[in-house]
Amino acid sequence: MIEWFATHWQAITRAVGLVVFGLLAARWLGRLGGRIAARRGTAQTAMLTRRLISYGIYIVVLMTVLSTLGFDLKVLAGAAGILTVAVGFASQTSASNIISGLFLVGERPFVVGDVIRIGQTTGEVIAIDLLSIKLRTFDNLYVRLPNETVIKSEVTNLTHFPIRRFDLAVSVPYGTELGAAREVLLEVARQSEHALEEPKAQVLFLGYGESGMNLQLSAWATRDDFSIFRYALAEEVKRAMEVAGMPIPFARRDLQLTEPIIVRVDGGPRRGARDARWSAEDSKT
Amino acid sequence: MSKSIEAPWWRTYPISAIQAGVWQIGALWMQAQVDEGELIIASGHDAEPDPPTWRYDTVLRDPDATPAIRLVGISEAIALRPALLDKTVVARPVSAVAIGPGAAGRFYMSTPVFIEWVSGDRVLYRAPSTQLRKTWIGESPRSGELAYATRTSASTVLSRMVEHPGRAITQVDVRNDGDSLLRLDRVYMPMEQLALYASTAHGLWTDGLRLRAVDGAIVEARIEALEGGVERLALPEVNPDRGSLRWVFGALFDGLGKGGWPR
Repeated sequence: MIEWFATHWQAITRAVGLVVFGLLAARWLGRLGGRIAARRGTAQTAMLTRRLISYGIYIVVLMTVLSTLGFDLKVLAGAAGILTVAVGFASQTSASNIISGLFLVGERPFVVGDVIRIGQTTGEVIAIDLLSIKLRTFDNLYVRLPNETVIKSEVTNLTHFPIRRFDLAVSVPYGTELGAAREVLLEVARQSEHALEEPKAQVLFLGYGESGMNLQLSAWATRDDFSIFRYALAEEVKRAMEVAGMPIPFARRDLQLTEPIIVRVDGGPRRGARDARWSAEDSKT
Repeated sequence: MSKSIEAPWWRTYPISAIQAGVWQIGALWMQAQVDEGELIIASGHDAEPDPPTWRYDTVLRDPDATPAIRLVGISEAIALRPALLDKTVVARPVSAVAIGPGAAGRFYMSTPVFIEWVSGDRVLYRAPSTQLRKTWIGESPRSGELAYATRTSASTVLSRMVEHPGRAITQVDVRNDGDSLLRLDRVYMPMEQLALYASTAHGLWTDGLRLRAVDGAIVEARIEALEGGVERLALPEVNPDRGSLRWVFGALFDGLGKGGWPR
């Protein structure tokens, strides 16, 4: 061993020097690349660029160091080929996730900080990594979604545009004049603190329902105000409809009886002849 | 105790003097009290007083009002000052103004201001003089920008404009070089590009605007600094940009020309 060191000390020194230089270069060039990418792209583009540059330099440095130390890279290349096939089979999912991650970064359907909905999960994007994206849901749960799943799923970005429309379904009683109901709803939108003046609010007629006529009030708010706006508008609409004498109808059934039915009331005061008859019937039963 | 309404409300108040104070500036009320070293500020809006005025009382309006902000470690004096809104304002004249073909006209419009609490150079708190609503300026919900919406009295006669302690007046000169009537149904005021001034009568003014329109589209827009008899209170928040001025005012008039929102 000592003999080997004695004969190879120059190569070892060179290899150590290469490792130190390579590590510093990888870090410095990675940061530089990340900074340039950040200027033109998003945070995740910068992160990806930084990692690609760093890992690329690590691989080159490793190969150079091995070559310097006298290892035959052809043998390694052969072994690497076999290893690649084995690893490839074992890491199909990871490779798929990495490639999907690259597509996600390239396509940019969302960025860190956006609120997205994928399947049943809605949350704020807190990281977009090579293998997965991480979400924080509104009940403060940490959700990891593999990039492959994200690529294959329908993704709704709730915060992509600065303003959003809220559609509130409202039912009005059949006795109500539609024009009056429309005016009440539009006035609510006009007076609402968080509703945007433009685009203007609209009222749509959706159809005749079981218990009333179904309308839809569509009003706009900024994405920052949207949550509070949604609740406030529903509250204001209910109040305004009640004040206007158009209470929101609830499900009701009218029963038409083909034959009269006898109703017996238990307890309570009983007066008059009818009460006396009922008393007599009661005593029979 | 009510103090003079002749003096401007924007000035410096030593913290030691504010044990309790209520400022009513137009529809806005702001209440400040010092409690165990904390400066507690609350604010809200009432109905617009008629005539618009401001006053200062040392009796608290509502000692239990929900604080908008609690400031600690403020030992210096506090200044109250006006500031123009930080976004474009879409002002709708209460009654529309129109300019005939080939004619030029001057009219005046007023817009709300922010009332800022300042310590040194730092803005500690600010509130708009009237409740502001937001609106969207853009050719579609996909692209555009947020702005404030307000109703305003617009007049072609300066003497009819009521100086309001919480609103700044802008003088707008419009030349209609088109062949059709130019209706001013809504005006897009680039407040963040205008400077703020105080007149000798303690009214608030902004830079003037000079526009030239052809067939309902603005072909020229210029900001003109006010001169004479005014004191500049604040510089524009952003540098005036001729291009953006043109698009902001491009949608000034009824019909928006032929192609919608020019940009």
